[in-house]
Amino acid sequence: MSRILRPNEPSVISEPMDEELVVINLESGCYYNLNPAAAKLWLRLESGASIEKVLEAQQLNGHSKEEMTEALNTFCQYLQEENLMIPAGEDNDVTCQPMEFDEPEIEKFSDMQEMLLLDPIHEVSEMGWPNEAEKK
Amino acid sequence: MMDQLFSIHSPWPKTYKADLSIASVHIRMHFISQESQQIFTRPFRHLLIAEGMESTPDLQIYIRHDKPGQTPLEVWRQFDQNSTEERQRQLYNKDGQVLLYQHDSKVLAGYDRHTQKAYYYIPKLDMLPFYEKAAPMRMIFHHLAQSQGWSLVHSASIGLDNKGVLLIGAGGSGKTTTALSAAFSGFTYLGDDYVLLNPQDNTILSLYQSGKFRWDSSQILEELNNLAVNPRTDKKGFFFLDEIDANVSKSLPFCGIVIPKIGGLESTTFHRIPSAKALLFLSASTIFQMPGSGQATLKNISKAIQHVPAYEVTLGNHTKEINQQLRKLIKGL
Repeated sequence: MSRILRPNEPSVISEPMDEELVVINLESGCYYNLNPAAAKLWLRLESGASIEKVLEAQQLNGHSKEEMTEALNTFCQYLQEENLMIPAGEDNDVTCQPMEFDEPEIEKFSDMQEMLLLDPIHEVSEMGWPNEAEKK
Repeated sequence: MMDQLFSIHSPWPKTYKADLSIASVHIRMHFISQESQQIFTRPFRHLLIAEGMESTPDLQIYIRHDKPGQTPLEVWRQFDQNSTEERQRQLYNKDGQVLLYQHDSKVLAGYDRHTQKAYYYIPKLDMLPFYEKAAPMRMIFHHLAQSQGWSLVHSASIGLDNKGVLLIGAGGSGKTTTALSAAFSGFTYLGDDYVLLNPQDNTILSLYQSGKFRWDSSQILEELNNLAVNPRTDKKGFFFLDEIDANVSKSLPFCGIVIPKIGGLESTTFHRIPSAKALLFLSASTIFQMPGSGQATLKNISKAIQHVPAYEVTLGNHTKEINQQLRKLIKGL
């Protein structure tokens, strides 16, 4: 069975810059810098490609198949542990172009956690301010 | 709806108002008393429009407090009752109307994007904490910025020769001290903590002409002690830059990012860093501080900073030498 992940929106936001990727988890207060290899993998997963498909498209680039598989699995596991990506339903039949494998690296920062917005935006209920509407 | 919540339909004095402009956006502030007018116009003195030059405002802000003996507004009482140490901010949205109550400041602020009206309420002016007097209404300006395609970013900003830089970093990184000592040394000053970033024409827009400082940093800038307009019992001191005839600018082209770092070394050094690092630190500290910001802010910041270089600057021990190095860096941008 294919394993498919998608960004944990709206709690997680991301933006590419140069070849890297900035990812912010608004719920945990942690933010991350993904190196170019990790950024490419993120974008492929975000496009709807399954982990298996991403793996198939990787070219060894001097690494062994085992190394590559382990690195990708570790990367995907980390994304889920940090709640940056969550399992998604369907494979969107996305084609993955071949890509040379490189070690994905993620740098994590948690120094903003004390400033975390513990109380996000609430929708107001029919009872008026400041009564919170039930979450749908 | 919001007018009723903030009770501005009752007789409102016409005398107390102030008009200011940020880029081409015209803001009219309405005050309920002369005292509040004095408090809240001071941080914006560099942005005030001379009488007779006003146009139709793009945003109107109603600033109110109660008279002695008057009961606080019902909506404020409700928020205040819900507020706890753990629940520092209460942010509610209803059909484009946003209300924010902050537990520490006791300020209730509202923004209605349909009517382009904003509201700012505190029962008594003497309840205002020092940071609200130095840099008031951040939530309102955050929403105004969003409506214009700008972002209110958590950053200091200085400049030279019509080139502006953002100084970014967490508290204690040397950002504010660097900005203030630069202002004392003839650099152009745009802000010490919050400025507006316009990614459409890549400009930095000043908002507050105030400077906050830790009382112990006055060893570096001795003048600050005498300039503080608040008592030593406050956590930080603050002053207004017009007191020192600083060169406070309304806006400057955005030409670079500087991330200062306390180094403890004899001399100041700087090296270029990837833009992704700058995006990471600026967007994270902005987004986590500003209620209701997220992907739009991240995109705006990203758009603005992709064209400018970013430098990490390890600060030396001597203010004069730091300013010399910064001068060299900015002139070379």
